[in-house]
Amino acid sequence: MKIQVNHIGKMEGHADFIGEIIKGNVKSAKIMTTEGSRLIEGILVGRHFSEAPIITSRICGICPVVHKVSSIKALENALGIKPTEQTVKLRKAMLLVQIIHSHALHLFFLSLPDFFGLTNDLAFISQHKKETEAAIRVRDWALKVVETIGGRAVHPIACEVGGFKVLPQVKELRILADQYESILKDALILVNMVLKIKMPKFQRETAFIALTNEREYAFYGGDVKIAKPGETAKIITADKFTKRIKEIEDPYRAAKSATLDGEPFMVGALSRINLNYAQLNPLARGILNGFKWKLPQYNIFHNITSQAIEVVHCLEESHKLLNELTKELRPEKSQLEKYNIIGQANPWGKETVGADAVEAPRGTLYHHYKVNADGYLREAQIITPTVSFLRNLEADITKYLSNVKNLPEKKRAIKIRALIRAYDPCISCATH
Amino acid sequence: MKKTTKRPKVAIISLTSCEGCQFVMLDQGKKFLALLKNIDIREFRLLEDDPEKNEQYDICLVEGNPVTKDNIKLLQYMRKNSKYLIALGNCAALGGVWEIKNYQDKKKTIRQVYKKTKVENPDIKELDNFVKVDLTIPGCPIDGDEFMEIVWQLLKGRQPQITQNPVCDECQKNGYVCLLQKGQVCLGPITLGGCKAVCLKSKQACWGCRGLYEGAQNENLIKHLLKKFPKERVYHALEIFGLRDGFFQALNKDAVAAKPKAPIKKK
Repeated sequence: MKIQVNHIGKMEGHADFIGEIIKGNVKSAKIMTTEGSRLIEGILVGRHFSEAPIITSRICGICPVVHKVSSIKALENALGIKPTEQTVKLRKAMLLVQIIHSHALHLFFLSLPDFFGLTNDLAFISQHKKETEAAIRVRDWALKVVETIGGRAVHPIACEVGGFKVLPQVKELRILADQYESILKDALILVNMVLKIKMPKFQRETAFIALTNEREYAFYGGDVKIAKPGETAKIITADKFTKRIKEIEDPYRAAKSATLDGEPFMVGALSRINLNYAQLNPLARGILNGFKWKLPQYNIFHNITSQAIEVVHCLEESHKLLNELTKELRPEKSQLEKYNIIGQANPWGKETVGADAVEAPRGTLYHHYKVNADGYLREAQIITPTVSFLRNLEADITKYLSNVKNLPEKKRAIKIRALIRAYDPCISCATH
Repeated sequence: MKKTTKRPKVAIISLTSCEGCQFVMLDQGKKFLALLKNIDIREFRLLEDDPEKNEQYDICLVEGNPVTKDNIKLLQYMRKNSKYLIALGNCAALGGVWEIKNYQDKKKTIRQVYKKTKVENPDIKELDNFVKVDLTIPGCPIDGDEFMEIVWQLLKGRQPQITQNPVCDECQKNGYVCLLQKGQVCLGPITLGGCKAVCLKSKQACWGCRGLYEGAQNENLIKHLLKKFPKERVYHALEIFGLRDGFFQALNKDAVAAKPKAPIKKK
């Protein structure tokens, strides 16, 4: 029996699903990406390094901030440029609110309707006016923070290798910081809605991977924490990890996929909660504790719940940062401008390499570059979260198919779509 | 587009892209919801998962670039079934960032990414190479305010117009620093304004994502730039948002037009 689910909507990018069941056993489960490959890593070769953050942010319209920041950090590593503490704070603030607006969009507008038996958001919106308005207010606020710091919400402009071309106005940051209480209330409306959902009972043990660091619940950077089922978690450097992770070309789709030691693994909100829950801010931690989960949580549908928890955590954290920035922000030139490196050569005077990772809404994102002596890129590699979890998603559907294979076709398709959407896949990122 | 009493049927589709222009629409939040009350959205994969419909649309917005054969098929199908087709954003209008590949050895470009997978690797071409485009909403990404204004104009039965001024106008009006004078490659003098000079606000030089404005002094700018900067840097700036091909076409046209000393014709 062939199971085909075409044109999966309500997610970023385009994909179909094809499964095969032979004599009751699931033979294969494949996510087929159906959009063109833009060859981003290819077109970067031969371009000046300062263009990379501009080009790579165009990989994805929902998470341009993370591509920009990840690309900038990797290039700084290659060029030996150390950003100031203020620059790091501004980047972190952008990154946190990026997580908020992406999660809010996904969990409310893309995934939640699945659990209310609705395929069309417009119907969902009209049935949940109060919650819709709350979701919009949370997103508006987060987008405003990106715009204030980055100059624009989709494809921010102001941040570059070495710092910020222009700094935000303290006055504007203060207004945003002061809106915290009311935005938090709105966020809690969303959290409450997620809490009411009865998630399907479904579990599959798998490895979880996320960045981790001692100071905070990691988004901006850190080492890589790997937790395989039944083993104690291990921590290795991001550099070592990129050597261990295997990017695989699958003949049936333009997007690649990845394995670690030959096995699929999970990244994203659920991974981060499973690995770094102890570092959640108080309110977010309280919400998590309320569930009385036995961690690690192996039900992938709780990726949505984890996103809700992270929205609250990121709100708490960005509020903290915005308050600090309001008090401490001082005029400072981007180091590119200071040292006049724009359009110029590699400060090392030779070919260098640099890599870095950040936590994107959907999981760990790696950028890696080789910059020649003249400052032009010789090599670029980008491993996106959706590439990382694609095989895990297929493994989950394989198991889930046996649960739903006897349902009528329409109902079964709805179930499969809901599982795929719970991952919050971004096919644009995956195909890049 | 003629004004109808019924809510117009609208399709929003996306070919190969980052989908950022669709997110600019969604990011309009309440304003977007208000718009939804006045139109009948029949096709919008980002917000619905309903089975495909076979019907006629009054307006179809197309984001992205037709990179795959399926993309082209969908585009042609939507053209056939839509009265009014809008190219939404830089990828649709000018090819998008990925058009850079047209200026590289594309067989080499693809080998940087894939070793064995067979992936479609055509030259990147703008929408109007495949279908008739009735209107372009420019930008990478589109400007939210401009998008709303244009759509409301359409709903009132008017043909929207984008004022043909360069980015420099808004840049100067807002008192931003002129980066061309500061010694950077800036394409503001030839690029269609309407973006509030948002990049210049952040001290990022304009690289022409909105395309040329009618009446742009292309020759003056390229002469100036090539005198001051290495050719490669000027060309790279023209390539980032797919301006290069259109720019040189316009330049050739200007040169031909300039021979009998005819003034630049406005459409």
